[in-house]
Amino acid sequence: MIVLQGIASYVPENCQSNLEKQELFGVDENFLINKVGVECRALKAKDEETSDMCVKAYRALEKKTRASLEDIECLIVCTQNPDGGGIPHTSAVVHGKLDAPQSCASFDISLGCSGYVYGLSIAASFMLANGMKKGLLFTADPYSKIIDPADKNTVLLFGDAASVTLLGEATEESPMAWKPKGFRFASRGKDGQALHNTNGELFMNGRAIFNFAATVVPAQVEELLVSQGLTQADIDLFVFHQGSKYIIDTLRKRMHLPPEKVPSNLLRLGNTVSSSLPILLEEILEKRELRRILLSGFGVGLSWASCLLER
Amino acid sequence: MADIRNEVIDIINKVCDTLQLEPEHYSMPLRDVGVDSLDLSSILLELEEHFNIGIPEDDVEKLATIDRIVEYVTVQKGRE
Repeated sequence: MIVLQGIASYVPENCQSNLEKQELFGVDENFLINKVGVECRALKAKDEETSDMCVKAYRALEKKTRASLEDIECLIVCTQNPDGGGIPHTSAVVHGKLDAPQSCASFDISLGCSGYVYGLSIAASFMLANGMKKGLLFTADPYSKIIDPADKNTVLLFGDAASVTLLGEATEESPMAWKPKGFRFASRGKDGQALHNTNGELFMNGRAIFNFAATVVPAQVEELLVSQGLTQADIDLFVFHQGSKYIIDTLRKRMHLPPEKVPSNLLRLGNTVSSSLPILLEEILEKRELRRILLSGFGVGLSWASCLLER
Repeated sequence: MADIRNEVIDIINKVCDTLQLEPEHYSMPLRDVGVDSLDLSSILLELEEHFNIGIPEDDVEKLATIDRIVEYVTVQKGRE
């Protein structure tokens, strides 16, 4: 069994204020803080590449865990905003910058907000199928590369960040390590144009994405719980992709969840796409009282996926 | 139509729980009543689910006031 052995993140220091854009977009502070839920958005430096963000996340991981590159057998990057034109793949660039072993498999996953959940399953399955004991799953999807600063729908929402999750073989020495299980996946490609990148510019149909998330996520969560013989009461925390405060609150209300079971941290980050789940997990997984967490990522594709983390 | 009006008001009150709607608000632009763009997305979804109708994107601009929403839903239900 493959378990989570550590998570670290990189969030750029620059946090671009939304409050300064009130007049430009005809919105007030209440709307920005209490509805969108983003006071400022993390913004990478112009010359900072996706791979650079991954490397910085790894350096943070080195400080937290006993991870050693020579043990790493696979290195996976989830991104849809790769370095340059995507060739070579960003995971290969990261492999080079970290000077990882030649025996290490490196590949990218092209997914957005569902990417971390898909990524956990892909990484764990790949490692199990190939007898691997240690692997790294990165998420790094800096949307600042493709956002039009005049687009109110997106510029107030998305932030840049990266994460890395160390995955390893379960051992007797780590009984409290988190085990991913109960994966559910879904796609709705025919509605994919609700969130697309055309000619290097992001377009998002806010209403379509809201409708999608508000309807499919509760249904998939229920499906997952039933498949595992569980109820909402058996889940310590429901960790939703941090799309916006509004969608998180909407999901909480539609699913009748108490606020204390639905954590959120996007106020000074923004929506960091596939990094939103692992960055939130990094904060909460250390809490010793937690035993069972439900993750749900949803967005571009349209794509959504949910799973449990148990220990 | 009175029933549909009451149901529409209930939906708006449920979504925008700090509003205190009065009859004089029904003909006012929704934004002036305190309904923002995110609220409107929620209201439209609740209307679609409650009344079992679809509200195409092209029709949204017609729904500028509560009165217009009531008229729209009434027409949609009348087509069933």
